[in-house]
Amino acid sequence: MGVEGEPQIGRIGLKDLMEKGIYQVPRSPGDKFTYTAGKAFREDPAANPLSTVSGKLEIHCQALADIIAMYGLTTTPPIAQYRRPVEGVEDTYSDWDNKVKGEYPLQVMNPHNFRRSHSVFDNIPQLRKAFPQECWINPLDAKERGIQTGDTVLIRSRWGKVVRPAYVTDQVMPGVFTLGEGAWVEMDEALGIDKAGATNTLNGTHLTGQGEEPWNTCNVQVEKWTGTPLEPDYLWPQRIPIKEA
Amino acid sequence: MAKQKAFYFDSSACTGCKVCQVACQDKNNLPASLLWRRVFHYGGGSWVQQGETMAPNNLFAYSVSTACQHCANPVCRDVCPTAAISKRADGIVVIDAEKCIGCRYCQWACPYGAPQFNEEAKVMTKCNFCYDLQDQGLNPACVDACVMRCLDFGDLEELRQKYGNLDAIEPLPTGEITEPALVITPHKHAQMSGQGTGRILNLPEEV
Amino acid sequence: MNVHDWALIAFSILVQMSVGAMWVLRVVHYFAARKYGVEAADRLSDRALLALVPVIALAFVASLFHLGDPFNAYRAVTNLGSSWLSREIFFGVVFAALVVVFAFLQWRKIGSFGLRNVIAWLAALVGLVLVYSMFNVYLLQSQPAWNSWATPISFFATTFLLGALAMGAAFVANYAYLQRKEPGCADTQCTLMREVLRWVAAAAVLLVGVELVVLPMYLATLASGSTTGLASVQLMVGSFGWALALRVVLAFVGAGVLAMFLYQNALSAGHEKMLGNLAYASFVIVLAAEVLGRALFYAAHVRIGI
Repeated sequence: MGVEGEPQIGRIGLKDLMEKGIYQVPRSPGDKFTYTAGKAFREDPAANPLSTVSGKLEIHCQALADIIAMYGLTTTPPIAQYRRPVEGVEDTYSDWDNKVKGEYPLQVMNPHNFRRSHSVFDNIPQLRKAFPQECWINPLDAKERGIQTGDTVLIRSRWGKVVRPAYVTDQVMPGVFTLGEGAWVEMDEALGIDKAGATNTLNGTHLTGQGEEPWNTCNVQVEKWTGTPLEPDYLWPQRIPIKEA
Repeated sequence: MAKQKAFYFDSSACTGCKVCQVACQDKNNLPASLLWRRVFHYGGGSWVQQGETMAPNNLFAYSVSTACQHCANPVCRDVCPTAAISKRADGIVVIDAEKCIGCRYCQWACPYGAPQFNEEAKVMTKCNFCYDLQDQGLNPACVDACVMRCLDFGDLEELRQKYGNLDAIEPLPTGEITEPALVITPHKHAQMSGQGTGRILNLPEEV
Repeated sequence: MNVHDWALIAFSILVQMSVGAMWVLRVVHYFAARKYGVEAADRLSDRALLALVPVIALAFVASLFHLGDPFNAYRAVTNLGSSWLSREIFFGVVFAALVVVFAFLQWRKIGSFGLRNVIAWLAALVGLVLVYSMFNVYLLQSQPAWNSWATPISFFATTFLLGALAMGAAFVANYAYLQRKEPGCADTQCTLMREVLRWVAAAAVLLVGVELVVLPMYLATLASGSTTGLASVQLMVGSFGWALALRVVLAFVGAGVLAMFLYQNALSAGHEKMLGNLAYASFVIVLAAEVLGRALFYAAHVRIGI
């Protein structure tokens, strides 16, 4: 295996596990694997306070907010308010008051793609065949750009470019565009374009603090791709980072 | 009367996750491009202007998982010139790869696109209802894999008594041509075959 | 389109042309023998008959290319009970065998005239059953573009149109050969050839007329039948519209315009060179038209369902 030391005895040998791909822990009612977090607190909150300042579960934790503020990062107010995000809907307009769309008029959403768990198992061809890492565009936006389902499109943001097949669907609102997060980057170095459609390629590097996931807001422009036709990614050579031991 | 094995599919619970499709590929060691079971997404509707914004207008979408229907009237078997396709006593329709010459006539004839050409083996292949597993008393791979328990199988008459007689919804063709051994519980938005107002939503390369 | 489809286009066109040619040879031989004797009839048609053999061989070799596993091809005749394709292959093999046997016997003049005659007519009849099986292969409920009254008509039209024009060209070539090798018979053979070419030309005009009348009716029926049928029509007049237009123009020119000139020139002696050119040209042009038509047949079909 290439490591030193004594092998330990466990439930399944490493070679068996790699061949089978799965080990299922047998369960039975009343076995010792059931664990309830915070059991003591739940049974008697007064006698068993948590280690927060109030001793209770804190939906807004001032202590945490103070630490984050001390780092100089943004905090989240305790009561829900609308706060303008970076690269949210407002940034798709060059002139918000007169509703004039700007250079990156579509708002991107990055849902979890069915074929992988974030980026895990993105390299399985059968899963790639099932879910082609397509981007979703509303028919009104597609029509403006002459795009039909199956067309390859170039997606540009302020930070990077990717190409992907388009799926024209009413299941996304006009002005909104989706591309699943977690694809394994396949950068065409010459063109500076990621063929796999990894959403990180499109995101900038915003440093944020509490309650913000900046990679979830992004603005893009989409147009038909006129370069070399893109092959479906289930036909690409498979990348296997960890070979047989 | 001979028993007819049939699939049951509950479209009202199907999420379109395609585990059934991939489990079938796994069990039969199929290359990525060969799908014996396919999951179709079907839908339609539109967006309309409503003041300053857009509003959905009769939007709908649902998924249909389909393999081979092991039809009561299998046109594939009738048209095959080498008699490579046969129907077992339990109704399962099987292609004998030894006899197949890959002429694709069955592919022309089947409205469900079940027989598919295997580029490596150069013969036609299709869902065989996991008859090797069934013969051991086990379930087909797709039935066991479905996380929503949408897929089931059994005797066609028993399934019909339990779930009704519906054997087709869009995008499947109507059952008149080949009499599929299939029982479907429709999704709440399901459209009847031949009367659909939507379209297949999958990318062409997916199916 | 791929190898699979090109193989089918080649096979079906060549086989149908052979069946049509066999019928033309039979009918021509019968009437020529009645008028000028068996020897003159043989002199007219024997070489054309021999030319059929490599054509049929080529057709069957081409057909093997549409199979994934051609080594199992012998099994293709084992489902005569329900498969029209099995029946097509069976009658195809019987037709080919009968033609080859007849051609050999006729070439060597083995056996009595009566025996050879029976074999030849049997081959022609089996050829009809063969074309009948061929169009039945395509009458599938899942294929609206094929499952039409137009399919049998177009298959038989192709059979006799190509058969007639192919033999027209063969007779002209035969005459040129005879002029060099056996000048003594030139007069009789010239008269025979001109008479036959008039019939070939008339048949060509009639059959192309049928094809060109059927085509728009077929498209209209198909477009109004089902959404799948409409999709086929859209392919035929849309992305493949250029091929459809070319097919019509070539058919009209080859079997309409040129055939009329062929008829005219065949009315009197002295135009043999022109007859030759017209016969060859019209055959080649109509062959191109028919190949295009068959290519459209295989390219524009859309299966119902998924």
